[in-house]
Amino acid sequence: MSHFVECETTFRDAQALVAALLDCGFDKLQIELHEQAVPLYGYQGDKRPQMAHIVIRRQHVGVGANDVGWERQSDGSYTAWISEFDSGVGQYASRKESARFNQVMQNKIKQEYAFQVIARQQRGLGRDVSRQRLPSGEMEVVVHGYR
Amino acid sequence: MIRGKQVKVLIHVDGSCSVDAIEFSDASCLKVTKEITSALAGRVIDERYKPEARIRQRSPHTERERGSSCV
Repeated sequence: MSHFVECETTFRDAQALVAALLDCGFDKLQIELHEQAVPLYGYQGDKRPQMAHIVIRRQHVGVGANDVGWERQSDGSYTAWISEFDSGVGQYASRKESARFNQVMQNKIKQEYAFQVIARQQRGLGRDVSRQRLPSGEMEVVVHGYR
Repeated sequence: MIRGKQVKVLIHVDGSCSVDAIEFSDASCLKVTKEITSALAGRVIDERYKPEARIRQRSPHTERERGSSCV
């Protein structure tokens, strides 16, 4: 018998999100994790209205970048704060290939997060988890150890 | 090739996932897919039983098993 579900992924697990950022090339020392939300700053050191619990400061994002952050909402999910400059959209669409947090990177973070959150849950239940990257760019995860 | 109960998750490029519980013999297949989708915490786009499960339903033996949430 076989049961099939297709679903979206929502950031809810801070540790899995940090692990995903590490997998995406950031260093542990570059990722701030706060219990209370802290302000984000722009490329000129100006305080922005956005606050976040998980922060990568602008000097770790790139030249002329702004802070990037994820703010925990009242429902427990995390909302990403990424400027147009750093995501390469809006008036900065011409640099969407080079922007550090462009759509490709945002998708990669989400993909890595999905793996992390599944692997942590299932390994915690004593199951074996393996993964392989497919030529299509998708990731296949196999979980064994069900009794 | 490893056989037996397993769950395959295809994580798409945009981070959405297809979760498929394979070779489960009882309603636990529903439990394990829900376990993983709850961890992913996102909206469910589609949910169904795979074709091979429906083919099995048509046999006289499995017809009696209807009522199980996983058949």
